[in-house]
Amino acid sequence: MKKILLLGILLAALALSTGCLNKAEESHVYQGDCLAVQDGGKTLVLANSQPKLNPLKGDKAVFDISKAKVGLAPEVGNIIRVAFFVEKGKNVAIKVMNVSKQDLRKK
Amino acid sequence: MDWLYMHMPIAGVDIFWPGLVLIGYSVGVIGGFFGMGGAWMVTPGLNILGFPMAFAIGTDIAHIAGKSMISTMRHSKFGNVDYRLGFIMLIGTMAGIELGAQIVMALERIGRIGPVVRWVYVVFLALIAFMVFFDYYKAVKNRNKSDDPSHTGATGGVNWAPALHKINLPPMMHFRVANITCSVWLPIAVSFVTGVLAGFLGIGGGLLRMPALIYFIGAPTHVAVGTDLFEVMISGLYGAFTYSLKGRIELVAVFVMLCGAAIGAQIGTVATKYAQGYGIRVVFGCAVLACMISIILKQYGITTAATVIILGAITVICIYIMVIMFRGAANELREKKAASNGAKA
Amino acid sequence: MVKKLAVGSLVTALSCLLPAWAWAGGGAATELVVVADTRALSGFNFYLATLYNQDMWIFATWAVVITSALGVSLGLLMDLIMSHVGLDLGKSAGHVEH
Repeated sequence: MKKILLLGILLAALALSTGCLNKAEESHVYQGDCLAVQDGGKTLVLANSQPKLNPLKGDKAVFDISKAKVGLAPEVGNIIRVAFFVEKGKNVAIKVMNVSKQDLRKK
Repeated sequence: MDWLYMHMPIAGVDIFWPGLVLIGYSVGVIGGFFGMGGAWMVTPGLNILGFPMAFAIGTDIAHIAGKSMISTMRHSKFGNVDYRLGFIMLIGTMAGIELGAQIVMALERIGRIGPVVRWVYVVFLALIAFMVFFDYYKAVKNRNKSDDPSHTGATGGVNWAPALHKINLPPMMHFRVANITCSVWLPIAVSFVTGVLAGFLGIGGGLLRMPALIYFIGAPTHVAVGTDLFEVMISGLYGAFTYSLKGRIELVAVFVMLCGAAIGAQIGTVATKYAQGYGIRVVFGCAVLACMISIILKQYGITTAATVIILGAITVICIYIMVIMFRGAANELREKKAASNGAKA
Repeated sequence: MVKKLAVGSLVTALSCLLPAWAWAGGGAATELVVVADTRALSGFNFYLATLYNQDMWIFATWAVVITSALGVSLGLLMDLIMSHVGLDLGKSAGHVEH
């Protein structure tokens, strides 16, 4: 019993410390219709289809997806959801999800 | 009716939360009462409620991790664990779970996960139902011969252990608590196979591992129980970790189910005190069959009927067990009262 | 015994054949990436979903820690409640739950 509790406390401490390290920056989520895929698939342009929900202002937003984990390939017209950080004024994507093509509910 | 639906932040689906609570609660009651997991109904149940299959499996296995921590603590604190055997088996269990999870992810990638897991579940549940009914048939047949109706055993098969112990594949190892000597590869192989099934179906694997420990490895029953419990806990924790890492887990659902399971497990465990006869096994077998039918219905897109059948079946079995508990507890209280009145007089 | 073996081999054959059949009918393999929609979330849900989006390792560690902590604390709480009610679980058979 004591061993399990000790293990739990250790794991909690580990999680807390790693959690704190990462708390400095927080990612955001943006969703919209894909307007263009540029630079050989490295840049994504999305329309601000849901201005009330999306965190970025303007009619469209540009994302650098060169380092992102991309699922089903985004194509013009697809609804795309992006998780991103804002780094030096640039939107750097971490994950790109193709909402149109990937309906998990059917699985 | 929006308030009946709870938003799952990661899978992005709205789930009928009373169904979620009911599944968690029933797993607790059934697990507590029968002494074996009810995890076989969670993955299909979650899938029928609307979870994508991979999320249903990941969520099921994480919920097992939460539940098994307390049952491991409560039951004998690893008293009967053969640690050497347990740790050797960990290799197979963890490798197996990882392979199971990788198969799930591969199936998801090619878009065939739903049907495959559902059909494997149908086969698996048919096997459980067969075992339960066969056990019942045997128990009824031998009713006069046996004095102890509560310990009929899950399988009455041939003991393969002596033959398997003769396999002289090095390294050979002696397991002190279980008092057996065999090739290290035997427990690893057994735990690997059960691990693959556990990782693939999102179950604890005890249903298969326990008989395997007794009949294939030759461990005494009490050591098999303790060692299996240890394996279930580890497999649950590792499964929860690997499925979380793959992003196929819905923690909110895990929490809701755990709350239900905590209450249910107490009721199920208390009810075992008052349970008599074999009738409950038939009810259990019918619940397994109902679950199987609902999976088939879901496969053919008849989701409403599937939901009604699975939730209905687990509700009936829960009510049955609760009636046993309340009736038994009331009788006990009455007897205690009568005894104390008698003592006063 | 023969019957059991027959059932066993049937089950094994089916379990092996089903995935093969599914594989044959499958489409092109592409990893599915899930982005949790945090835009309308708040509180704990928002925290979890954000963690999910930005760091899977921390999310996985947290998932295991929180799940086991919740399991243990709920179990201990229920034990406490049951002992107050007067039903001693220790007396109720050597039962094991998974």
